[in-house]
Amino acid sequence: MIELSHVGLRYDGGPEVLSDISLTIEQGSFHYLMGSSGSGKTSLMRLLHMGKLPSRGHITMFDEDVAKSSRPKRAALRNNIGVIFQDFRLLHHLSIYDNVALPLRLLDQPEKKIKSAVTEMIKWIGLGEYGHVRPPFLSGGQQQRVAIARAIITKPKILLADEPTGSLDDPMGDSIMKLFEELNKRGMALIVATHNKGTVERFPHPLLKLKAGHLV
Amino acid sequence: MALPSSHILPSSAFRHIGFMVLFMAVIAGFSALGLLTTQTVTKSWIQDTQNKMTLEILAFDEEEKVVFDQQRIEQNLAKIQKIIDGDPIIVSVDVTRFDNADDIDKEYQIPSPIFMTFSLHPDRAKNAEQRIMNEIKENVVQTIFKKPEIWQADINRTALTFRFAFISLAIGVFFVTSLVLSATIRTQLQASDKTLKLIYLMGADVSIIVSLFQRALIKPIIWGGIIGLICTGFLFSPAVVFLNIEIQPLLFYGYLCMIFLTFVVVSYIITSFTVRNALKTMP
Ligand SMILES: Nc1ncnc2c1ncn2[C@@H]1O[C@H](COP(=O)(O)OP(=O)(O)O)[C@@H](O)[C@H]1O
Ligand SMILES: [Mg+2]
Repeated sequence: MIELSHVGLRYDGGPEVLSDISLTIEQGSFHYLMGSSGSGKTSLMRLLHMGKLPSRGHITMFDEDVAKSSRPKRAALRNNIGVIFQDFRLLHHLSIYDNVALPLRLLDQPEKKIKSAVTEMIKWIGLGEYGHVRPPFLSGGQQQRVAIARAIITKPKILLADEPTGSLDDPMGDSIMKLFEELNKRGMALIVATHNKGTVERFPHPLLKLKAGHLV
Repeated sequence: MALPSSHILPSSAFRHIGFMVLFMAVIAGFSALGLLTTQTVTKSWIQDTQNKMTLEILAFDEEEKVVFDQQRIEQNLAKIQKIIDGDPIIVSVDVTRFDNADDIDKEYQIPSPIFMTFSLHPDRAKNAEQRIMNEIKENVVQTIFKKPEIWQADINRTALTFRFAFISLAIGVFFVTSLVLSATIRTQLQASDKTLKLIYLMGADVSIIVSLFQRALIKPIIWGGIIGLICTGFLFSPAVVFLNIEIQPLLFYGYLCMIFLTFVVVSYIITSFTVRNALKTMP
């Protein structure tokens, strides 16, 4: 589904923060992306959702060479990818409902369909009562769940989660991991960046280990 | 794509743009009305002068630098009246004197000129007044004639000044508004930079994002324009009625709509440019 071959990334002509990364993500797989802070987890996630293009090597996504694709083509590819950003990136001027509905609206779905999908999704993440509330009025864990809801509302083929349990206590983090396992059972591929060893032990899945920009 | 921008962008983002367009619409209406007023007034003045000729019987001799006495001036008047008496092209004569007040002693009175306004027959032969002018000039040397054309030239010069002022006003305000509009759009888009990049990473194509912001803009512009047109109507219709201005509503509103459309186009281009520029660095 996604293939990286000898990929390197540098920011603005700086040193390589990712070097010689080669990996394959299969449909329906579940990987952890582990590594200490600054090892390049977020940078690798950026390559995977085309927030950046590699400075060397090749990335193939859904049989398309990313570097050679046109912008509209890349936009279409991105529609298959759900992203949970490390900093959530919720829109603070919109309600929870509108935040979650955003990707569907960008796909120009009919408002009726959006309503049933979003209402169900908000219920599923346990925030059914909070549809009209804006993100700043929610706790970190609640915002995290809104970010998840927004990332999966379009039923993407792969979900990229950048340290989704980072700021949460274990019970809260575990409840989110349970959400992820449920999504994975439904066929969604996941890559979860984390440096929480406890999480990995309680919910075991294959590891991709990053160390100073290299896969080890 | 009929994506409702209100569900994505802050509703306040472009609100003050509406006020700017409103302001511009009123100023544009004012300048259009000014132009029309000038036109109407000029037309009626020119009509007034069409069949009028004026004559000043001078109170002094330019060349010899002598002041005539009042008696001589009166004699000249009598001569002129005799010449024109019974002339078929002269309908009536109006004599205006600038008499000094009675309480001033007659002895020190400064002689004053006499102004005559001839109403000419509207169906006279072309330049028929020239014959009378020549005859008077032969008999009474110290006179200054003003034919209709000269009055009209004066009026047209004045009208031109007014027209220039009103047009400059419209153009000036138009440019200032366009500039402020551009600046506002750019500032607002910069403030929406996070939203812009987020929805791009969600898989929205650049053209969709551009049209999203354009639609967010068009609403306040249309509201500002409509309210501006209504305000213009309310503010200026008393003037139109009072001054009896000939107004072609179609032309008047057509002109305002033109300005309005220009704003829409300017906003669209700036939005497209700024959004594309903001996303330039994104893959
Ligand atoms: N936008 C950026 N511009 C320049 N350097 C960056 C940027 N983002 C990350 N880096 C650098 O890349 C390296 C890896 O960072 P990051 O991918 O954020 O690691 P992690 O997510 O594992 O903490 C760090 O040295 C960091 O300073
Ligand atoms: Mg990170």
